[in-house]
Amino acid sequence: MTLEKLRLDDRIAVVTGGGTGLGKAMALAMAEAGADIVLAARRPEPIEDVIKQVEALGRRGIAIKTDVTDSVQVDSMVQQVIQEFGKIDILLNNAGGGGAGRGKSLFELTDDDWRVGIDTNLTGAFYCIRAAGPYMVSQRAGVIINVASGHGMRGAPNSFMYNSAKAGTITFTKSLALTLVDDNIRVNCIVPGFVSQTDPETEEDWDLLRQRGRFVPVRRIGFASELGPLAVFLASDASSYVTGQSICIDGGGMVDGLGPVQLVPVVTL
Amino acid sequence: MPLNGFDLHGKKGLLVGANNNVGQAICSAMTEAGADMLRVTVTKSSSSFVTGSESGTSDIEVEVTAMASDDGADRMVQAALTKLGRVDILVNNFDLAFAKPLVDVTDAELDIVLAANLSGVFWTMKHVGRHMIANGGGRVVNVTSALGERGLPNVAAYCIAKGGVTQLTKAAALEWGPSGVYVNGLGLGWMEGDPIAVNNPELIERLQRYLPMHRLGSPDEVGALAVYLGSDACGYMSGHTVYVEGGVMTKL
Repeated sequence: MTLEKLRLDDRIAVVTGGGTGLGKAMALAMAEAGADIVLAARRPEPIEDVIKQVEALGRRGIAIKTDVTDSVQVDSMVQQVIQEFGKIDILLNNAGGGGAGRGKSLFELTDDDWRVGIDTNLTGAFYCIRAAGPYMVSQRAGVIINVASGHGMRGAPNSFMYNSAKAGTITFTKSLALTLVDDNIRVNCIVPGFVSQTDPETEEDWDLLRQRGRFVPVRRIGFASELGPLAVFLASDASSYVTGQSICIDGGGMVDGLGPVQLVPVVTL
Repeated sequence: MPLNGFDLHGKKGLLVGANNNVGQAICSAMTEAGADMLRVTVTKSSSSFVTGSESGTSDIEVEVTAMASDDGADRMVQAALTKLGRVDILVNNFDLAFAKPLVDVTDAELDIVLAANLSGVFWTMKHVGRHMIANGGGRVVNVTSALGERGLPNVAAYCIAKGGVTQLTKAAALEWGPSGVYVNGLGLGWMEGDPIAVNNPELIERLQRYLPMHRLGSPDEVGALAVYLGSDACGYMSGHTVYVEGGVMTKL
């Protein structure tokens, strides 16, 4: 039964940065598929709200205030998950963002700008994997999902820490997948393109997606809940032979990029 | 002198597709670097085949459909060997531009696009490769396109042909690496004189706005890379396609 393989019943999933946007959407998708959810983020209110929605779906959930750039907090978060649930099946490293100094002129970037950008988008995932990984190894089962960005595969002017960290995330995924393959732990990476942090509700919202995405091959940007099914797939036994991969969910953006839309006229032989 | 590695004096080069603007630029650059270049001009094979044929100075002419066959490529390569004595560098540069909505492409069109852009490279490599393996080594430079890796609307047939060359480059590099035959790709972005853009000022203007360098590439900017990929300076690289594309593939 193929679709049964997508079920996440009785799995414990930790999602970092899961209070809003993509993390929230992926956490709720995994809860719908049957997983119990732990949300770890800096601001407690949003993750507490999402946990209420998790519970409304009939799953267990806890919110743990965590700054993933602080390894002490990460270690303590993982301890709390183990005390509460006894295991960690899924770790979704979603926390990240533009960070300080994004868009700032290259020559004005401070040491702290650089460190904060890299810590938020790369080091935090490392801390979480280092803390949760040993439990997965002892379980001889586990799934790690990192979240990168199209910015990790291409450049963008004045976006240094974010792009470097996301490129690092993609390569980290590959090394980690090869490192943990014998422990029956799979590691993959979701690579979103241009994606709205909220889902469209009105026709105006849809218009905005189309307007903002007029240069995207599918002619609109994506939205948060479109990432949910990919997260469920990668978290579940449906992807049992998939590891080390970075999967773009970008409306075709990564195969495009050689010219403006509808550029090429007919050229006959 | 590390630059000595780029010197092509004493090298014999076979350039297939010698008379488009990129071919001419590669020929001058390799000649300047010291190579003896034999130019193969690929000609049209039927009246329906209008663009993509070449005219200009050449040493050998071959019909595109002949080049795209085992026998025909063999004859072309034997003719080249008769004139050159030996081939150290093979440059596959013939290019046939074609753009049409996928839903309208005909059998005959796909056949010729694949023959010209992919099968011709394959069979030429087969026969030059045999010779290079027997000779103890060589360099193959396959000129291809960023469309071998990326897509654009209206160029599906061209994309699969160029994508095939990118893959052929990888596979042959692994097969022939132990024999000292190195195979690399030279991928082009939007170049001046591009058959799709030429005579279309509006398209060129849109491209200039889009491209990171705000200009198309000059064929003269391709020659040096061809020299490198064809030379002993390229001593540890094989299977890769190096792009001359003004940064467009880097951009989001």
